[in-house]
Amino acid sequence: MALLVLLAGGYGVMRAHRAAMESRLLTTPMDAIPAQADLVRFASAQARPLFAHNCAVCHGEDLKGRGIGAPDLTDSIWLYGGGVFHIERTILYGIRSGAKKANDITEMPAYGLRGQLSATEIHDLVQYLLKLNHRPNDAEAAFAGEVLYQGKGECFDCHAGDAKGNIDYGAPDLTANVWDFGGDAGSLYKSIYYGRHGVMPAWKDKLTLEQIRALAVYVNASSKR
Amino acid sequence: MTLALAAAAAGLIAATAGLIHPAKHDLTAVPPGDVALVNQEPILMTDFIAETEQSAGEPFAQTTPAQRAQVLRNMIDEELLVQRALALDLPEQDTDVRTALNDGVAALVNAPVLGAAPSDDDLRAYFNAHRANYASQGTMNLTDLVLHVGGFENADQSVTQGLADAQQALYELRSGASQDDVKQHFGFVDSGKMAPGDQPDFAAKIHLGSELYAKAAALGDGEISEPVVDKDGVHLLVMQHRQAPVFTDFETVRNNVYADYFSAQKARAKADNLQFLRRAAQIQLAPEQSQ
Repeated sequence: MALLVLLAGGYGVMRAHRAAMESRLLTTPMDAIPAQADLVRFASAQARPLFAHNCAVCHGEDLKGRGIGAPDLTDSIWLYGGGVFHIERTILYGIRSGAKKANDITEMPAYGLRGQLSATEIHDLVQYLLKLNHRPNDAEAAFAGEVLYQGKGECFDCHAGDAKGNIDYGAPDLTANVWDFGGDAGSLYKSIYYGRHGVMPAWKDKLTLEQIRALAVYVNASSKR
Repeated sequence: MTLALAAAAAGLIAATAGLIHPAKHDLTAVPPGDVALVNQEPILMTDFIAETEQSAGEPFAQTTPAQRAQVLRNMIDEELLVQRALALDLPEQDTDVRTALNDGVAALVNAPVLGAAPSDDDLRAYFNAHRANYASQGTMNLTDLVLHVGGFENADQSVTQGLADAQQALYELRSGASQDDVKQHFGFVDSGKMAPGDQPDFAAKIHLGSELYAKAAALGDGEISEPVVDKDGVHLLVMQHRQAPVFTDFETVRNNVYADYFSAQKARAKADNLQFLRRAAQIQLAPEQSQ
């Protein structure tokens, strides 16, 4: 009987501790969470199995992405802004998920498929992207590509004149040499020709707010800052 | 021992408190992670922060208490109005609300469709299957002569006899006989399906029907069709003037094909979704609608 009471008591203490930590996780200002190591440890422990079950299929068990457009979550690049708050909102409402609060202001247009740029023009743009990332390129084509970037292609409109991207649009930094859909010339050509329309589902109402907050803290802690 | 029992007792109390969750509608305090409860409906803290930042145009930490209070008041007002709309059953009464709900579901259903980029081959296949959509509107100035058979319009001859007469009439027309001669000699009449003058193809198709239209569309200026048996008799189609539709090449209309392709995909996604919903739904029809 005493053993049962002790077991129940221990279980109760555990639950109370967990409830207290969950409450802390939800009440601590999001930008203050990363500095609280015990809270990050608690959140990460809660999040790991959730991530493996729900997120790893696209982002990989190691969070490094799987080359299918789901980004590497361990680097320092965030299309829609890093930090617990922005990561949580992306998990809550997704990207182009159809939810009105999702990140879906723009998408990468299919310039080739729609006939807006020719194959040669796209080739020139690819050479310019290679040049921006200090990789071997055809200088003449890269020059033509830069003219297209700042002119007819209107790439600057989303990716900015200096090609460093814009998190308001989820437009990636084209100078960081980090590519969700591959950074070789062929993959870059495809990205411009066919466009890109990455989709992430909304997890609100599929996971609890506690679980989503834990995931946001875990992912944030896993990224290089 | 006493300490252990005290700890166990405290644990039991905590466990009991933890195990008994308050029902959703028994919330008396705003749960962690929420900024407000409006008739038990939570407003997320993260939504509040995002709205405040968007409204103020600066990071949340830099916003003033007054700005935050205003945003929160607006969010509570919105939630109250949404709840009121549901209480008033606006989805049943207001067509705009119904449209918005329809659109919301369509956006969710379309999301994965829009994420799947077509290949060039997909676009070309779509273009080839819908070439008429990328062509100018053709016109035709056509006379549709019909020889009624098989009791239609009191005609007493058989289809076989009608076809034989039509072949003879066709021969005479092609040899230079006038339409009036053929009408008088064989009993052909103008079917009245085609108005005089140039008619757009879509109108011709409506009036002639698909089969006669297909035969007519293939005729050039001055040509006469082979006899065509339709339900009202044997027809001879005499084309005075044909302006065939001009088909556009794929490269010229790529952008339109791309947009149309996605429209078609969305329509299919909507149809699939409705089919799924219909299968899962209990739909009962009044007896007179069931026939």
